[in-house]
Amino acid sequence: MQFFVLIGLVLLTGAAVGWSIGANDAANSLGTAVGSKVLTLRQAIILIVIFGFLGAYFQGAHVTKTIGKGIVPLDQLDKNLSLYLALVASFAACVWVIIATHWKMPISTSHSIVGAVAGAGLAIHAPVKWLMLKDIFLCWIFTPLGSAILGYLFFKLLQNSLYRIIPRRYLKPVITLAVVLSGCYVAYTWGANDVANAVGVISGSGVMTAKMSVVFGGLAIILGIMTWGYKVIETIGLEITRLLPIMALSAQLASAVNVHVYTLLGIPVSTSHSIVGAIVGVGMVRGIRVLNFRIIKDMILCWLATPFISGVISYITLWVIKLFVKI
Amino acid sequence: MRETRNILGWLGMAEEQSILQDAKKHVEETYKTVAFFADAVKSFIKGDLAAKAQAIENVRESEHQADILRSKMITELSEGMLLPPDREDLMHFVKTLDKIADWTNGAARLLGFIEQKLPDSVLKNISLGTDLIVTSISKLQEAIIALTKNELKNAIVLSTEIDHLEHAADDQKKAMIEAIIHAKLEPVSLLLTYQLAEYLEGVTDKIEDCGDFIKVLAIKSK
Repeated sequence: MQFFVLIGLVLLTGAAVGWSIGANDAANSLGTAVGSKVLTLRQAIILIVIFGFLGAYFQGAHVTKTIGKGIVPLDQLDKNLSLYLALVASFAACVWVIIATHWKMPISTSHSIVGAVAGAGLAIHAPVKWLMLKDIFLCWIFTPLGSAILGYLFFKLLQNSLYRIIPRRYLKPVITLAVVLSGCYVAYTWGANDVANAVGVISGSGVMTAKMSVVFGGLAIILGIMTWGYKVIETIGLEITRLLPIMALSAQLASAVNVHVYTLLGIPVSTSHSIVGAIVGVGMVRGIRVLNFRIIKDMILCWLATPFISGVISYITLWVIKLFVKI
Repeated sequence: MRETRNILGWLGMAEEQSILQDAKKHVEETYKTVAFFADAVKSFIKGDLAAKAQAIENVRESEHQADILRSKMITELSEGMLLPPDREDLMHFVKTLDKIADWTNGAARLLGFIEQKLPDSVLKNISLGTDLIVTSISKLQEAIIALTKNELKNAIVLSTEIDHLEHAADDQKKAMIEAIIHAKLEPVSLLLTYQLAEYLEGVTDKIEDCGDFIKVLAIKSK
């Protein structure tokens, strides 16, 4: 009975993380298209749901494997132990996400779950793969830098070539279509990389197969989009991000390519950091004055603190559980 | 929607907060401008011309500092990749804030030109007009602080109080003009004192304009 209760709790916390991802991060893909009136809100939601799910289904397994087995080999632990670790890691990630939402801090769920898994692993003296963690950490640094460079290059290229190649009367519809398609690509790579944050530990602990878990995670993400994410998309699209279509196209392409590369490598990265890096890269074409260093400093502090804090939460939680339950 | 932790939303809101913090500093400098003007009026009423001249110089210097802050804020507003939601409103707000200091400086300059000892009735009205300005600017400062702390209801209440003070300033101007007419001043003093009445009322008008923008920003933030 306790076993099934445990499984139920693991699935619940995983679904909560998935919901949060759908609620907060869906706007990063087609928010700009809504803002520039290329798509209605309903159209954007439909496309994000479809492409986000497709990304999760077809390519979500790569990163799921890393989170489930690449940081702490959950499949090699005792079944009960792996379930507790999965539960606590998801719980810790969830708690930190709730705190961050309350404080309006832009944290990454990818950073949160990685830190939480490592922290829980340390609490039970499981073999934590430090080399993998080091590689993941390095990729986190390169994510915004890489997408900034790509954003800069794509924008320079498109700015110089698009107007020469495409006849003037077709320019607007072509760019509009390209913005929508690149937004769908962002949604696809977002689903592919982020679904693992919700279900990596579920799959790793053997509660579900990898395929079943990404479907489960994808559905949780869709629920997040439909119940809360649409409000965020509306706010971001209509009030915040006012980018020219060609800038949005460049930034979206850069971010999507960047995240896709890491997804194929099985590295959990922050899709939020990628899109921000890409937008900054695009903006850098106008010069360094687009950077607000004061705000960037706050962002970096959030990024650095997240894996550490979620790791501490999961470590303490599992340590307390061990006092009451024989694991 | 302020609950979002979406990074693009956060960036927009963070920029807005950063600009509001600068607006807070600007209004502090503007407050100093008004405070120095109040000192100049007190010295003028006492007949202490040296203190009056020093206070007027302080007004000029403070207004110059407020100008520097305004330029900085306008530069910040025109830069940055991700726009805060109310950039246009913030731009108007900054320009209106700056007008308060400008008009106060204008009033101080006029006070500097007045050399004739004015009748008590006129001095009393100048003093009352100045008190209204000081009270209004204090309310404005509190309203901006409330806005930066997201105390939106409080910010709107304070802005409404600024409206009432502006109405009182209108009545005060009428009373001052009546006192000037009955004082039968020399032509130069008459002209300068009348202009001073205009400027005193003008400063509270500009403070009220700022109060209106605070209402707009507060309502949009909900």
